[in-house]
Amino acid sequence: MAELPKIVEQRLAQQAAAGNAGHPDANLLAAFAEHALVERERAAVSAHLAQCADCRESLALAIASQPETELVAAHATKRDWFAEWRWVGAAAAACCVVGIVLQVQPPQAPVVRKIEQTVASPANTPPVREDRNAQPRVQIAGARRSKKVERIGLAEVVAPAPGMVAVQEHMAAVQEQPALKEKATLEVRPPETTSAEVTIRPNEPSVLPAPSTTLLPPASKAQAFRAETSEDAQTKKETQALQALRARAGAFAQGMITRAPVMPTRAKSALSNASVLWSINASPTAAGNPRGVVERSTDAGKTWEAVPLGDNVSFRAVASSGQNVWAGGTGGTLFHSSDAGAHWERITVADENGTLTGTIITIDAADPKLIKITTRSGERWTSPDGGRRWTQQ
Amino acid sequence: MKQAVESGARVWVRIDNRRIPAYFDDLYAKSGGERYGLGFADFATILEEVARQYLSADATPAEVAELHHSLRLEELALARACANGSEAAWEYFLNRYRQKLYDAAGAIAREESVARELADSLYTDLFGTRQSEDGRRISKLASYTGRGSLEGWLRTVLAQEYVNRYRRQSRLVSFDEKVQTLQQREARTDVPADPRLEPAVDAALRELSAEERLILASYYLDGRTLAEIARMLGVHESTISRRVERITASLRKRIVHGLRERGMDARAAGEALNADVRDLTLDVRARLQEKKT
Repeated sequence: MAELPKIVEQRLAQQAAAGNAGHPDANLLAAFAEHALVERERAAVSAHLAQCADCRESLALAIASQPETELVAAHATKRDWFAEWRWVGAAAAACCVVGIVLQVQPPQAPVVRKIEQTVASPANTPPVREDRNAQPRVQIAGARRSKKVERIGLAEVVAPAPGMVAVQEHMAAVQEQPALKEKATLEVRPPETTSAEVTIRPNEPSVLPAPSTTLLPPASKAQAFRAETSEDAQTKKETQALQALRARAGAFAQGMITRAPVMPTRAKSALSNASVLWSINASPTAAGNPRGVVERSTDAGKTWEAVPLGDNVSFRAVASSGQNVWAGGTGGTLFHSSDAGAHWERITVADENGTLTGTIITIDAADPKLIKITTRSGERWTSPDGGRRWTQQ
Repeated sequence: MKQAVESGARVWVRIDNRRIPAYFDDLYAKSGGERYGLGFADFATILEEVARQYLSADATPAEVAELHHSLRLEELALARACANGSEAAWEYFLNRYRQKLYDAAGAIAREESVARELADSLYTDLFGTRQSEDGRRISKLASYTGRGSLEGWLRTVLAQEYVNRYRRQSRLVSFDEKVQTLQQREARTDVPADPRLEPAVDAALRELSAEERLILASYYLDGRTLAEIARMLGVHESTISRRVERITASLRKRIVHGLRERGMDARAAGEALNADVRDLTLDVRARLQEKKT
């Protein structure tokens, strides 16, 4: 290893003495170690660390205090590859599979940069980081598996890579399967040991036991897998496929690989369902709208447009459920739309005893059939049929 | 006055005339806050606080949502529920984290009595013995923001506390010693240091990226192993090895170039850099030995 010229070392060290302000707090430093910072933050923390020996030491101590674990992807060897094959062979007996294709990505910026790019494009709904708290639904297919897919996937995972492995669910394989037998809930939970864990809770009664250790080289993964003999073939399949995912997640949390394992992308589509957002602006806006105007956003809250529903009314409550939207305000005004706001109908809330004339302040329309509203004066009205007939409670 | 306008799926909830985005509901459900005894209003306040802490005031709703979705929600809910005084949460926290806390302290401090003191002290801070004016406990868990894992945060807090208490003093001393030794050595050489050297070196160092300087400092100043640095940055050891080589080589080139720009000829520049390399080697070895004891 080349030596550093003395004068360079001296200047480097002296830079450390100058200006040690701005120590990152434990949140930032821990997130730095777990590669959870965006590029801008990471650069800032790196810059501070470069000139602060105390923070470098804290970081090193924190990292080192974790129990020793083995690298998985980066140190995969040929021997491990054969172990994987035996593992695949055992799985071949089962009738179901989750197609997981593990791709080796070229070394590039960590996943955080990808997220940043996503943010820049305006058309996106709030992107979800699948590797964190997304609860994706893994559709376990009930049809025949594709042997080829699995072989390719596993071979790639053990190919020696410089520690950068991305895991993606092969959506095409899953989508092709005609019969979707079972849904499992995938959850990233606080770690049992030191790595991020992925546990699977199938919605059926059979519950997969959480692993005792998370980061295992492929060989012992196979052993752990064989030990779980109480599961049936179906959940065995899930275990296998998601153990790979789990190992990556663990490796990622350990800081072994910089690319986060990408959870099944179905999660993304489920959570980023483009839907219309409704609101009432509670303060005068720049456009000069008076307080109490119903607003709608079709781009996940980036921009809002006012929905004119009446001149002399100030709205206080808006609720939506699917395509049904309700807006209520002063003077007992209640509007309803059944097509996400394209067309509106004014509703009169009345029963044989009288009409609602006060200010509506809450609307509960979670059930599109059973609508509940309350007024400022404390009146409570309910409609059991989606707004035709009303009764005061 | 809280005026919760609760309703169906895609809507804004109003609390104290603040607009709360609809996805807060989803995140609250995911966080399991209810289980830990953390109410939705508090959870919403926490999310807003975290966004204010890490994003500028003109961040777009999409950026805010992105940040929120990247948080460790369950750990955040647990930590903040503890800080709010929820006994259920505290019990849960103890079951999961107490042992890890003491294990980590042991790994950081090595020496048992120091480790115990470190862990006890943090435990007290986490539980919260200080009291605010209205009699509520002030718990350190209230400062956890969910950017990293709760366990990682605990380790980092321990490590920072350890460094602050036990290591800072000794480092100051040894740094002074180091500077003294370097100065003495300089005084001994026949050729005085050329005044052009320092600015050329500084300029070259400034051109490095933050991460490159971090790698250099970790390797040459702290004496960390390649494996340790690799672990810190989440790359393979061989990557770090290559980077150290490349950075050092390019640094030399840039300094020589800078010196030549400042009027030194190539040979003199090379010599100025090579001066006392043997001393440097000895110094590094001495430091490494120091670290091992």
